Amino acid sequence: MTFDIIGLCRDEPGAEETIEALLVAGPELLVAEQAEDGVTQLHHPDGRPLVVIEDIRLVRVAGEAQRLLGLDAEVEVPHPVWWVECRTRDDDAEAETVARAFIGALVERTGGLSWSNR
Amino acid sequence: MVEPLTGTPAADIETAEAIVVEQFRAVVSASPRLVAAAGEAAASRRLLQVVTAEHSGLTYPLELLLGEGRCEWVVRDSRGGHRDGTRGFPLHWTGTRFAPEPDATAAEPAEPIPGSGSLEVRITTLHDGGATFRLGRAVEILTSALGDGEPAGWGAAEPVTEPWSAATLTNLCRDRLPAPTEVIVTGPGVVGRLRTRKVEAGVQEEVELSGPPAGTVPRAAVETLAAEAAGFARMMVVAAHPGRPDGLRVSGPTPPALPYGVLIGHELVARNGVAHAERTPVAKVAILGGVGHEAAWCRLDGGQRPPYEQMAAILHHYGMPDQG
Repeated sequence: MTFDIIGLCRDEPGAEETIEALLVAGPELLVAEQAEDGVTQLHHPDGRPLVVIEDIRLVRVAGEAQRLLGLDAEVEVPHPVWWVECRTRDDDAEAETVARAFIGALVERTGGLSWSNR
Repeated sequence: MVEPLTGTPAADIETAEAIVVEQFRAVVSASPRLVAAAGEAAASRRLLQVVTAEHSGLTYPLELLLGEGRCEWVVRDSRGGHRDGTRGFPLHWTGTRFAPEPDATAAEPAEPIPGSGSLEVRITTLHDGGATFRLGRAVEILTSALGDGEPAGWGAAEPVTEPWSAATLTNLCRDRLPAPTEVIVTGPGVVGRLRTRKVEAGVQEEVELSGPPAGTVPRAAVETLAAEAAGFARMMVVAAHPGRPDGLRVSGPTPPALPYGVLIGHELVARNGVAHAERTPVAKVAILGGVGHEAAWCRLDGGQRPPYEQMAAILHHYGMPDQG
């Protein structure tokens, strides 16, 4: 099983917002970027991998969040929307806490909403 | 399960034989991660195995992706057991991949509920490959006839990111020639794939879209679609797939898509003449299009023989070994 959480951001998450959100998630986290596929990994100070943050995408097509995330038609999703997707292993409670804190803090700064698979 | 070998925090596993990606959501789509993993699996001659929950449904683009070689759908049940997502037989983890249990047999398909499956349309168009060809017309007539609107967008993965633009899409595919191109396209109520590839006579465009439940589509809408497609398509197949009750492929074996109508485009009709087209061995044949540009619209509903047999007879009549 995996835990997935997605930030549906109204404004572009820039470097400032992203760094602030990472500090909220855990100031001691180690950040590793993989340039080739745009993926960012967050590691625990003990070295164990916690969260993968996928490349941020600007979705300029309306209705995709409703179609793919099963959101009700009434839920207001920003358009266009900056789609920030995180995933973690299911068997690491700390990973889920970190992912939730990161996306929560990010959406607080950019506007929009978050979705998770539980 | 085994420990991940790659050190990535997601529950992905890479072995010498397989790339295993887990996705436990109600809707599992052809995400950038899965599209990349499928490419990586193909390049390294390994299997991509996508593991989902029992209740997960696949989007049509992911269903198409998993329908290709080297990609498989694995369902994990509530007790932690695994089975093949599309055929239903039990699987076990060998240490390097999910494989069928010894002497596993495919489960019997569930009986389809009439009218509940998604309408599924495939349109192939042959462009002469000159500087002026334009892609996307098939998508436009489909969203207009079935979804009552313009196409919404396109992209390399789901969610699609780019607003619909036939011009942009055409330029992208043309610039990539002779390499093939494959994109996901969406519209109101429809989603699918558009592919282009170089063929001897030019550039072939193939559009496959899955739409609303077949039972909710008025017959007049399909007739409109046929009339529009007659103007340019090489071939169109309209069918209903019973495994997609709400537009998503549910796990478990289902019968294949049931063909409803086949349009034979004007090039193929012209090859043997209109009289030959009028003799197409199906229950209902309508000749559409103007003089010298006739297409044959063959409906498979009604008639003495099952739709599959009629379909095979049509293809034989036009000298096609497969669905061309």
